[in-house]
Amino acid sequence: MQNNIRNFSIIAHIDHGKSTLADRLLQITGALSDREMKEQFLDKMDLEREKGITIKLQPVRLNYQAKDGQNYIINLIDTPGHVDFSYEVSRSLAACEGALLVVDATQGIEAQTLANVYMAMDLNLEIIGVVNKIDLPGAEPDTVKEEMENVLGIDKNDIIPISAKLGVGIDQVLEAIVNNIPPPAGDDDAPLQALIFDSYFDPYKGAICYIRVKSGQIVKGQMIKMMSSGKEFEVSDIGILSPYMTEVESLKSGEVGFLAAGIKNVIDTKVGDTITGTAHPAQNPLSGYQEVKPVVFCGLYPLENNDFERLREALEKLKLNDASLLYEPETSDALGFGFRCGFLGLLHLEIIKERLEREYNLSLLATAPSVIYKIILTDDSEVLVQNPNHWPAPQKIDRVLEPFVKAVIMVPNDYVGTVMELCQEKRGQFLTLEYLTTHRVMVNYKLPLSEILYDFFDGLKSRTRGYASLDYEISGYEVSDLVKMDIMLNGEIVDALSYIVHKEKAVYRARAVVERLRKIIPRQMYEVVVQAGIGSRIIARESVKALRKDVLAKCYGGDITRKKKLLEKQKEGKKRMKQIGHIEVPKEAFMTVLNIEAND
Amino acid sequence: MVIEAKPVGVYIHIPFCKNKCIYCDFYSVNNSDEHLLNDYCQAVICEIRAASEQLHNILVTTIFFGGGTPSLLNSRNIKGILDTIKDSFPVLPTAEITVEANPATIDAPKMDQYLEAGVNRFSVGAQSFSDQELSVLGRIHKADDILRIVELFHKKKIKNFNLDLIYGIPGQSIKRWEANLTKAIDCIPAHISAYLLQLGSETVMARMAAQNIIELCDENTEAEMYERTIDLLSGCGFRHYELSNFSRPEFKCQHNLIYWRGENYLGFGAGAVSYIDNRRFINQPDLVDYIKNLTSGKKQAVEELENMTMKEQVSDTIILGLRLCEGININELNQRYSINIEKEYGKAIDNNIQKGLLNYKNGQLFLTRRGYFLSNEVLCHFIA
Ligand SMILES: Nc1nc2c(ncn2[C@@H]2O[C@H](COP(=O)(O)OP(=O)(O)O)[C@@H](O)[C@H]2O)c(=O)[nH]1
Ligand code: SF4
Repeated sequence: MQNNIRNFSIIAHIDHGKSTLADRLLQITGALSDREMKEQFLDKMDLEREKGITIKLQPVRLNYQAKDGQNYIINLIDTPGHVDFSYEVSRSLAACEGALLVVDATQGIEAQTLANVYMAMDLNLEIIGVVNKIDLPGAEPDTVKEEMENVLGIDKNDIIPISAKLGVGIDQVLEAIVNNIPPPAGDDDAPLQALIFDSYFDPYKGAICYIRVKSGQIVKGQMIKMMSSGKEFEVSDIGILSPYMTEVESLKSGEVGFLAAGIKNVIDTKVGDTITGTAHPAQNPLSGYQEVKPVVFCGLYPLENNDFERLREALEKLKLNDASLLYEPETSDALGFGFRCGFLGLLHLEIIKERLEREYNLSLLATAPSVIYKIILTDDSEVLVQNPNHWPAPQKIDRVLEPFVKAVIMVPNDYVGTVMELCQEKRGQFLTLEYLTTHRVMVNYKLPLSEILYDFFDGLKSRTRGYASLDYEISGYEVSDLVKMDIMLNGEIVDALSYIVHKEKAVYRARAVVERLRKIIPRQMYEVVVQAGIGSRIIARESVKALRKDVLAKCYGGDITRKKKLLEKQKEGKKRMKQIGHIEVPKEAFMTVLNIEAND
Repeated sequence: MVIEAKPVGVYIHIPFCKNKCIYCDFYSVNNSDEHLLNDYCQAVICEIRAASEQLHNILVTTIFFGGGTPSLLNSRNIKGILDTIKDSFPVLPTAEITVEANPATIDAPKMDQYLEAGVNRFSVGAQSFSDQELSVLGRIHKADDILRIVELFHKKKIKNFNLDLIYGIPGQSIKRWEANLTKAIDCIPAHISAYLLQLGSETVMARMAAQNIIELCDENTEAEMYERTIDLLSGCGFRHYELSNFSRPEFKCQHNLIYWRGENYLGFGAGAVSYIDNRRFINQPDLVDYIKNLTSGKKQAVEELENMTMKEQVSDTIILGLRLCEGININELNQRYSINIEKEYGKAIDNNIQKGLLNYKNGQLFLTRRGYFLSNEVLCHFIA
């Protein structure tokens, strides 16, 4: 039976058609009837649909009768499509023997494609190249095949041209999966090793893991152990997803499915961890496991002070489903009680914030994101700071280190100049430049992570008209000349607006931030002076002139309803304001104050 | 059981203008065709008659012909409508009966006939005493027309007339506004409404401003003009009694007070709004349909705009009442709605008192002088 199993993932840059292809595969193999067919079955959260990206992985099992007459079980393991979740991508790939690489015939290879392909190659996966969207008038399948051969070493004659949308070439894809991807190896009788490649929280069954059995087998009722923590559980349910949850008695070597074991918290089902049996435990865990650590931090504050407890409860609930989310209470002079939260990246931050607001009906204020700085003090001790307000006094600091990333940017060569300019502006160090084809290049840069967080991607998009793609990975810490900038409103420091900045860019950024605040703080009864300063030195100053007029001059019988609507709107606007002292500041100000590029 | 009559104001909407002013987003039709006007008034008469069968126990305390340009109506129409109202409802003998008049549309005989029909107050759309400004506004009259109609008032010993003025006209300086005000005062009106020019986004003038064809006054100038208005008029015996309204003692506009005090009113005519028993209704705005429906004896199409909860009623009363300089009487409201306003809106009240926009004295809550021109900042806190 193992011989007739194929496990694979689809790797693709955003919008190249991964979800559409997955839908087609489900449809053709009859996993979903046409009636059940809802576009993009695999992306299940609303938020994912809106943002058009996969966040949560969901494996699905397809039954396929191949041209050789045999029946195959094909497990499709979906992967998240964002750099924030690249560790999850790597663990999904580790659960497979092969990968479908989907490239848009009108776009060519993008930065993220490349990163994921390298990941798959590192894991020795068989890669099947697919060129999608050949139905589009601008499609250049041959050029793209050429590019794939040159850059990735995939034989262009083996690349399958398809249209996922129209269902062209899907048979060929299925045949290639069966013929080219090796069946899983692994001995059913060996000690159990099962890889957790995702987990989520179910209110009735507790944590549910998606697993790939690498060796041995797992049966209902069995005692299992998480190899990273040594914690033991009894298996209550196991099953497959076809695509709905279907219980089975056992999962054997090579199989993919789900498992529940009365686990109270997803923290105990860490992605990448190895499950083994307590009776005959495996000697070693599967390789590649990592603790995922947040790299981006920000403060989340309820706009209504008395929502603090509700925010705590909401975070607790989300945490049940998201082991990588960190939070701890903090207080701010300006904002009151809130939480300092850690995320895998900006998208992760945005998703969590939006879920808190939508699913828990909270109105939140987020402060500007920060990375983790390493500060070596004059007494040689080291402190980690991810909140500008914990920045030590300058005289105590010996040196500061900040995290850097290696960034890969792919772009039509017309834009190379502007991309390099942008990287230079963002304190980048040029590494290499390679030609993918005669008119597309790959630029490699080393950049401070903090610069990427604020507005790098917006800048990249706007300066290249959306033609550039970006991928990056954290490369390590390096010494930087950083200072803390304070923002003052009418002379009072607003702690939640402080930020860390490179000395050389301090003045430029301070001016931009102050100017931006001048624009977004609405005029108030009195003039509001906005200043930026390092220590006691003021670097930039602007003022928001006092409001003189806010009146409805006429209001008579026929008009009252309409005029009230205007006041209602104004009231809604006030709800988005945070009162700091006597000054009303729009809540967006805090999060976006450093996004200078996007708001020029 | 004895039921006390419910006082109501009656509003008659006359949505016709000779020519559309470029700053105006009122619904009105560029047409003064005699037949159409006659048909329309006939329809209004039908509507009033139909209403009288539905509405009982009311007492009409004011009647107001607004528009549009009601003074386009001949006196037969005015009389026809007034007589119908008097036939259909009890009308207070001292009821204020106002007609909005464009200075270029009334001559001596017409005024006599209006008076004869029962009109006892005129509201003149003067807007400015500068022909240049009047043409910027796209008005059909000239400054001389205003002076002529005012002369008529004095000749006929009509004391109770209002002049509407607009400030913040593109190109207007503070000085020129003061000159307009002075000329208005010289006319010895009983009432002056001084309105800031505020453009709806769909008006021609707003689009001209967006395309930089004209330049609107800046906020500081407008605020300054408002301040001067209050000073000047108060110094000449006018009482500032609503954000934009000034009158000699005893000459407040009784009809408009009904709106600001949250009392009942009945609107007749296409697009007219009624407010009765805490519900607001609007008649179908389309003129042709309106006439067709009513003259063929069909029922008039009415849309409900608001059916207010108690909380909304309170909010309404506060928002409208604070437009009046005297403000609102807290005890009275507490009793009327059996609530505790100080508790319900304590935060909004304290906050705005602190900001110097509201004041509370002898049971009255009212806007401060500083609060007038920033009143939305205050009022939006009281929205339900
Ligand atoms: N014309 C055409 N459009 C396609 C094809 N495959 C996908 N698309 C469209 O491309 C967009 C992105 O596809 P999607 O599957 O959501 O991409 P994903 O982000 O990689 O999952 C959608 O609007 C699809 O309808 C194709 O073969 N032809
Ligand atoms: S301002 Fe008066 S006269 Fe001018 S168009 Fe509007 S309603 Fe008619």
